[in-house]
Amino acid sequence: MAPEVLPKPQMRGLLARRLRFHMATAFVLSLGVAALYKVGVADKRKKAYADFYRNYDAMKDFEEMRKAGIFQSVK
Amino acid sequence: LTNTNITDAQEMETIWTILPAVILILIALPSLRILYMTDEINNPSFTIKSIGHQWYWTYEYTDYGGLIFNSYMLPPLFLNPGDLRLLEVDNRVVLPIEAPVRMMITSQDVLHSWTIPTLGLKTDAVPGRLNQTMFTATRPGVYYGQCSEICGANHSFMPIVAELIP
Repeated sequence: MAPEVLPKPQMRGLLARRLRFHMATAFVLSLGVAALYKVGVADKRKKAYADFYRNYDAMKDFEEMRKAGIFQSVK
Repeated sequence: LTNTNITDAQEMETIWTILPAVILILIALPSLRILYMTDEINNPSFTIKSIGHQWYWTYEYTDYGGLIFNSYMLPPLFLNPGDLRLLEVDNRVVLPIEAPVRMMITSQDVLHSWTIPTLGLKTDAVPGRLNQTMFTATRPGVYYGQCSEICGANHSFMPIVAELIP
């Protein structure tokens, strides 16, 4: 029976190959996470503030608080 | 340590020294710019001095006349139902909303710190030094804070109460 001849494995440049793969993956992943954070956290928070203040009436809020009697300087 | 397989990766060494340094500089420059921007004081409408003592605050409204008063904590026996223990004061500092307010903060004796967490304010009151902070409040109401620098026996009993009204 002829002995099986396996293909010669890669002998050199293993670290370089690993570094290339992992550096590229880390770069893409970090950009992706940053983009997700911007959309899912930062922009969402800014929108929540903008939505709150769009129709916010400080005077109405103040009048309600004044009638509730929480202020000392205005009754 | 002289095997040629483990010496002389000069290009890689250079890259992974210079590149992180460049990245850090690119992060630092805008960051420093923003840091100095947080210290800018842009046309305040109103300036109030806050002076820390052991163990009360003095507020001076000197823009339009000379109103000066002390703000002592209300002892628990003097509280009304619904008042907050260790947080209420006899004279609250009254401030306007929707106007840039500049607070000048110092101390008469030891270190104190003038704080109102819900307004994002904390500034140390240092004797012999005048610190300033600025804020523009958007919502009216009553805001509470407590002295944030250990200043003696009654450090926990010198709160700050700000009434923000239009």
